[in-house]
This record gives sequence, C-alpha cells and structure tokens, in this order.
Amino acid sequence: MTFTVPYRGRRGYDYGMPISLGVLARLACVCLALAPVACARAPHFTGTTLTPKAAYDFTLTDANGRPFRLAGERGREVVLFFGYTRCPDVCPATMAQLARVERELPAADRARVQVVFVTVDPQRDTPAVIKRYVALFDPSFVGLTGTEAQLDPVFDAYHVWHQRIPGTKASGYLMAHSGSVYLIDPAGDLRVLHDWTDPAPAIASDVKELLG
Amino acid sequence: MIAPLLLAAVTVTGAWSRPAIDTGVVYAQIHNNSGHRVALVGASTARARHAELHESTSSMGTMQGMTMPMESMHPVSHIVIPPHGTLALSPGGYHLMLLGLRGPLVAGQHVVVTFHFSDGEVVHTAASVENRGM
Repeated sequence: MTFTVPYRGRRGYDYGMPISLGVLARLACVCLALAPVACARAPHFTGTTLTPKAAYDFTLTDANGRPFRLAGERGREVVLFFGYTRCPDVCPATMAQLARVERELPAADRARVQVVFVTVDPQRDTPAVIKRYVALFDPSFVGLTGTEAQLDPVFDAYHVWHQRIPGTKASGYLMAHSGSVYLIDPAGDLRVLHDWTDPAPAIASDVKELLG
Repeated sequence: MIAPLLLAAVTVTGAWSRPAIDTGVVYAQIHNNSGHRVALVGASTARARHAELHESTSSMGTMQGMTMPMESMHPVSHIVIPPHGTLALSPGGYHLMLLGLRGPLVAGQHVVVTFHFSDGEVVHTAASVENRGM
C-alpha cells in the first residue's frame, strides 16, 4: 500500500499528490491500528505509483557508440525519458528538470542514480548528436539510440507514444511523443511515473524514496 | 510628436532561452499596451538561420492503465494578442523555435531577438540563456 492520494491535476488526470504530515500521521495511526507491519514499510510517492513489475530490459547504443544494457544498472536507480534532440521545448525542459533533480540529491545518492534519455528520432539522432545534446544538461546523463528494430520493442514495452508530424522546410518533420518520466528502482522494477511538467523537487523526493 | 513617456504599443519582458546545439528556443512575455488587437507575426535573430513560432499542445492518453501526457507541436503563422493582453511564450505552450543555430547557445550568453508585429512594429529584446527547468 502507499500513501498516495488521488489528485486531479491541472490537465485533468489523476496522479499522486503529497499529503501533509498531519494527514500522514492520522493515516499512520489508522494503519498502525489495522496493519502495523504493512504500514511500517509503505513508501510515499508524489508521482503515479505503479504496481511494481520488472522493467523491460533492453540493449541500445550509447552516445559513444557502445552497447548499454538496462539490466547493467541493477543496484542503481534509473530515471528514464524518451524524446528527441531537435525538440526545442518539452525535451530540454524535461532534461533541465532532471539535471535539477540530480543536483537536489546528496552526493552519495547521485552516484546511485542514472538518468537515461532514449531518442524517438533515431533517423536524425546519431550517437554523436546525442552526445553533444545530453552534455548540455549533465555530463553524467546517458543518451541512447538504436535501429528501429531495436527501439520499437522498447517503445511498446514502455507504452511510448510517438508520431512524426509535418513541420516546415526549415524544421523538417517534428516528433509528437509521450512526455513521461519513468523511475526504475535499484532492483530493476518499474515503480513510479511522472509527468514532464512535475516540479523537480517532487521527482527528486520519489527518486530518494526509491533509493531506500 | 510622440511624448517621451508614451508606452510603445508592444513591449517584451522576461525573455530567456536555453543552452542548445542546433535547435533552440526563446520564451518571453509580450504585452499589447494598445486598445486594439495586435498579432505577433514572426521573429528573427542573427544567431539562427530560421526562427519560427510554434505551439506545443498536450493531451492525456491512457496506455494499458498508464496515464501519460502526449506532447505535440506545430508551427503557427501568427498569434493574436488582445487589446491590453499579454502573450506568454512559455514551456509547454507557444514558443519561438530557433532552427540552424550558427553556434551553440551557452548559459550566461544573450540572444538578441527581433519580434515582428502585424501593425508593422518591430521590437528587439535580449533573451538570457539559462539552465532553467520550467
């Protein structure tokens, strides 16, 4: 069980909202009376709490052209985001937010968290392009690309919606895509989902919670 | 003769940009101080080959029980600002997209941008390049 209460956000969907210590204390009293053992270890997330299940494992190509396997991060928490480097608005806003999340963590925790960016535009986002892009935000970030055959099962497994839309002669095509941030715990389970517009402190709070 | 204290029909405040390599963005507040409608019809900067007005739009989708935001974007030809209204170019909404940057944008720099309006007015502003989230 979790201490996440439904909250209708500004875009009209439900996600977890932090609740006050007072409310938490009262809930804790109820919990302690009813189920003391379960309650003692209940995590509290500000994002959407998912039923824990193993995050789909994949191997893609990192910004240095080397293979990167998700399962290789076991023991560390992974913060996963899908976007593309020619995205001027949503993606850099999200990446800058995630850089802020990193900065909010104590140094010891920072080494146990890996932010991973996966492109939804493999045709234009080569490892070299991605390398310069992720370095804009935080040198520790991993940026991944792959062939369509490698990426499609990943998009399917994480329910990543993506679609080419017409742009201008100057911009070329644009990519519409889902704007979720996925938190995968050190055991490799997908646990929490955030909206790219969620405040960095809220995401950081969940990242810390998952580190235990 | 124009009185020295007369406010310009359009003023731009709080312009900022993000570090970028090839594709950049500019956000700002654009105030229409006049009593008539004015439209932002374009922009230009020496720092990029092209500057286009775009709008990000968001809708919610549910994929196998996971509710997630679906982000899209499209070019717009102009944006109308009502009399005495303010147009916000801001993350997740209207923004100025810079295409073909002539060099990376680095935090601490300024990007001089010229906004063009339907009444013929032209407003220059300096957008500071910042490591900001939202």
